[in-house]
Amino acid sequence: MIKVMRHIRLGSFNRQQRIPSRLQLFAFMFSLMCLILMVRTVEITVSSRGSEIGLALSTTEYSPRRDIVDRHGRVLATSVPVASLYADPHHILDPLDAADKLHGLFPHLDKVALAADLASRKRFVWVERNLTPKMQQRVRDLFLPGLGFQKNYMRIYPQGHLAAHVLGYVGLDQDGLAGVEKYFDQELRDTSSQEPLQLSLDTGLQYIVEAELQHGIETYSAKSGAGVILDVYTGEVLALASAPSFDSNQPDPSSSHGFNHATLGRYELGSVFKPINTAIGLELGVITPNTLIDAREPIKVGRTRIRDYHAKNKWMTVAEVLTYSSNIGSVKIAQLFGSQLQQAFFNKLGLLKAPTIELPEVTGPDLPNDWDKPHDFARVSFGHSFALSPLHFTQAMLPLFNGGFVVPASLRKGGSMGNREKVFSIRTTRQMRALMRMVVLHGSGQRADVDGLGVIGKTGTAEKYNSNGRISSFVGAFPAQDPRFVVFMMLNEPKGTKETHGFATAGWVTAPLVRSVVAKTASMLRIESNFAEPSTAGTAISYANGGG
Amino acid sequence: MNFLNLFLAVLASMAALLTYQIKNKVSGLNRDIARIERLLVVEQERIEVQKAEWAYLTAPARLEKLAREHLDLDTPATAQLARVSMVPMRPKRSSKGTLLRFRDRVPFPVSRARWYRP
Repeated sequence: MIKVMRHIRLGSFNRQQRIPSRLQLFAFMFSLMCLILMVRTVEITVSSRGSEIGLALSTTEYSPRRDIVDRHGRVLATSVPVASLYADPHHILDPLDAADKLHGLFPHLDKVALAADLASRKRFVWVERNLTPKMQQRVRDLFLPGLGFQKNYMRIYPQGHLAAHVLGYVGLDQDGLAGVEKYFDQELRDTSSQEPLQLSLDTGLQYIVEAELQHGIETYSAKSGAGVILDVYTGEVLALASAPSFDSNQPDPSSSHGFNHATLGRYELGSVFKPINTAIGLELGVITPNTLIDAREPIKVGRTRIRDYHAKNKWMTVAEVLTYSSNIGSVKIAQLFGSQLQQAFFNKLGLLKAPTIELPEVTGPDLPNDWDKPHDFARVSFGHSFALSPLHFTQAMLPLFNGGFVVPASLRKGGSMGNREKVFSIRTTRQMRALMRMVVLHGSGQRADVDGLGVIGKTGTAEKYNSNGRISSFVGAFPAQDPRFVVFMMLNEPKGTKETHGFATAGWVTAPLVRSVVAKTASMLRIESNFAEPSTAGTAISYANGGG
Repeated sequence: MNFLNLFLAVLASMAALLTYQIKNKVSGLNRDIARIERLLVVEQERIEVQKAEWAYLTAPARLEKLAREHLDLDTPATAQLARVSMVPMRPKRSSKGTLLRFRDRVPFPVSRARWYRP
């Protein structure tokens, strides 16, 4: 082998003498080219750079926002891919002609502004967002250079108006601007997981509440309204409605329809507050359901006289005070335990601070100016001088139905975790159930009862101090023997009709709404009717029946 | 020695050929993966659109409207709902094969049964 090599080398050496230097140069160049080609071949073969990436879509892709679903997995908000049209003015040959043609497809565009944009020195101009595939094809058919599509995602709310105040909406750049979309913005943008955000809402119940609320507003020509259904044990919000409503697909931030009356509106709710005061009295042991209260004549507190709407002018049992919604009786009950204890219990019930529900549109209460003074203290006892949101109030009522536990309202499925403070004893909550059953059986809430199911609750009609209107509301819970759901409906400034004999009080306008919601909810959730009125012995009912 | 060198040279070139082939195959497979991933994205997006469509079609407002138009049904009242266990069982036959009297066939709640029977 070595001999052969030497031969070749010698040979080449010998030949070199004869080969002209030009040919030598040519051979050298040829070898160099071969070498370059070989190196390049190896490079292309071995390195994977420039193979797949070059094939990827040239348009920028954004990951979609996560979906929002209800407690059963029904889609409430989702993102669908759409194309948006942009232009690179550097490559536009004739801005006027291009603007003219684009204006033909999108008549709402300002032709002059578009032409100015297309003639500018910018490198990127949005022309139109969220095109349908059909429009995209029509733009392609224009064969205009300098136009391009960017794929992006459009947020859509397939249920339209449903739960619009809870869901909120997003802006052009898919950032949450209201509702859950805003509160959970970071979580919804985080695309590391495609698991949808599951809310506690039940689409069916939400629809029932919204439909009834709308019906109530139309029938009684009310200005606005709110409706809430909570699970008394978990605090899960099953329905949260505010009317008038809007379509999350076409939000109008300037319109007042976006205002969430259920969580951001503050109202003096009136008599629906009385059960809370009665429960405080029962818990402290200063009253029992058959304690007699002197409600013979209006009482004077400070400069105002407090009188009854349905005046009975007699001694009443505590049960009757609640059943006939006596303001005088309520003030006298509250006077038995005083302002300090009332404030302490309100604090424990979470009434003094804003609820922790997962919405940006939440308000705290509007507290009385001088709660320690007799005048404000007396008014708080029957639900005046203390304004709060419907959701806040409903949340504070939960301990009366669930055995005494304070549970924060939550929009997450499963409710919010954490220790629950016990405010009322089982005994108090049992007595309160019986008392509120009487309101529905014999008192102002009779139009809220559902045959065979049993509804417990309380009406509330509050005069608005700054107008002639009133706030009519009803808080109800069912099934009566072991309440699972609490329903709150409120109408702002309802007007009486012929059917209600001109009355617009809660017993006439909102109690029937609650009955309707309860009946439909029960049939949707298949709650059977096995409610039998308990024997009256030993319960508050006997006290009321005895008293008249 | 000559033979060994020749053999090694052939082996080296065969190995190079093989490497090239594998590399070629792998890049082909990578292209397939990229293509399938793109198809996957397209399919996922279609599913998203279908999900939205389904949610729209099953929206309670729409269903209620359709039910009112096409079905002659109403919302069941609470009193119409019962548990399966409350439905009477098949009538039992006595030892003689005859049906028992009506009041023996219909299960009453215990408290009420006392009321009805002598």
